[in-house]
Amino acid sequence: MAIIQIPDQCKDPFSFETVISLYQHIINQKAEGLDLSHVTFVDPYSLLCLLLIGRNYLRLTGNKLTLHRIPAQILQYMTRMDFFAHNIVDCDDTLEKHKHLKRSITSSRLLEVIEIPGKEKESVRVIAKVIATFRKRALVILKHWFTLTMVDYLVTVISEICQNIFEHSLDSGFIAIQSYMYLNERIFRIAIVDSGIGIPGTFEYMPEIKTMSNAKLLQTVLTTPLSSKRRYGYGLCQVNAIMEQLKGSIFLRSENAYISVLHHRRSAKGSYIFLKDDCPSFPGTQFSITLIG
Amino acid sequence: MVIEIKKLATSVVVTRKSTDLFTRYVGKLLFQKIQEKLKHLAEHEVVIIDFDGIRSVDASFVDECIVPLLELSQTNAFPFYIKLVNITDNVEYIVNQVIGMTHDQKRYIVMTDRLCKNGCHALGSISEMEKDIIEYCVINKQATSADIALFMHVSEAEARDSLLRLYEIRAVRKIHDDTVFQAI
Repeated sequence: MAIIQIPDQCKDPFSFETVISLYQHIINQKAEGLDLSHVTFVDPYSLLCLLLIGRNYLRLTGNKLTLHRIPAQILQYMTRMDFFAHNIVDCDDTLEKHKHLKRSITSSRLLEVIEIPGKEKESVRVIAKVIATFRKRALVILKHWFTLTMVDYLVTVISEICQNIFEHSLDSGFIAIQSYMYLNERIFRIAIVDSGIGIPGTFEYMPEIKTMSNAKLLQTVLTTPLSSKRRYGYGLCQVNAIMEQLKGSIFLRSENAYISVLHHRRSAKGSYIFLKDDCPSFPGTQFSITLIG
Repeated sequence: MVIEIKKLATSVVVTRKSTDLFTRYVGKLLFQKIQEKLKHLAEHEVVIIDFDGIRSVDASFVDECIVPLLELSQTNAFPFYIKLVNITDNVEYIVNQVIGMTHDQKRYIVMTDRLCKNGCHALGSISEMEKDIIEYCVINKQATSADIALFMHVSEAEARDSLLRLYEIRAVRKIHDDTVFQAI
């Protein structure tokens, strides 16, 4: 049992791949904990994936993963985002009460970590709560960035992806939303993750899908109306179409592959798609939706 | 008949205070509630679905509520018609995307009260010729196959076929008189 050092690679979905490459090691070695002392920044996607690592660890070993030596500002952020409220990971540091970040409606954090249940009725109730909170806060915090129509489209995006959790993943998931400044750019990020059967698992029974690589499958579900459930399969394809309109980007990871779709605001060249297979295996499906202002 | 969807949504716990309609669960519930109201429907009646107060929907909701409603309008013992009013850009976009997809040879068109981004007062899978015919009917309130033939420079038989096809998918009305088609 050892404490595994987490590198300072929690800034975005691409850099977090380095942390995911440690996942099997964390599980197989039954690591005593993770050392976060080198981490200087955690984005919502990385935050949720850390939570998934903790949950998978708890399920597989029966023990909670402990986070050690968390830098003060990271601990403040994690506490503010209700990271520890889900009782999945432990922390050996305590944050003094006067150091807690305030919960103001004008805070730049839009939505704390919320669990999306794996059952339809409960999930619908939580999605309704998520959307209501997002609407309320988006109108205050993002009023100089987002129009009401943009908020409407983002509501559809949130609803579509969250529904996939209870419709397809056979597990519960998490959502977190935040806007923040990073390298002089204003970033708005929605992260929605689960550790369920993943997209390849969802389409396993479809013979035409079986021959595809996982990355190609992720591209197909984002660009082609395809659904394993509904008559009019459009969920993720619609998310992509909306992000194209909003000139945002999508990072979608499932099992051992990811796809990144960039709809450039400033580039006239349109969209870029990056596919990657043979990534370190990580169960479930993880989404990051980003707008850069 | 006017169905205020916001009012119906207030009777569902999760959408009581919401301006958004989402998930298959909510779609199914609202479809059931709309079906209850349709019991009092008259033949050839236009059912106006008023989206006033609703900002956004998702594909699942449309798939479970609007699509079955359009299906019912086509297969019901007597014909009735659906028209969406007071829709936002988001509702227009999602409805158009979902019903615009043909499936198992089924095709749906739904009328709206506004000129949509496709240049027509209707959403769904519509050919350019059909858009022109629908717009002709909207502007002139009604049309005969002779009117359409003259307007589109096609034969009367072709115009009549197109009008009948639009009637079958309830994009125009035909009451008693087999030659006159009306706007919805």
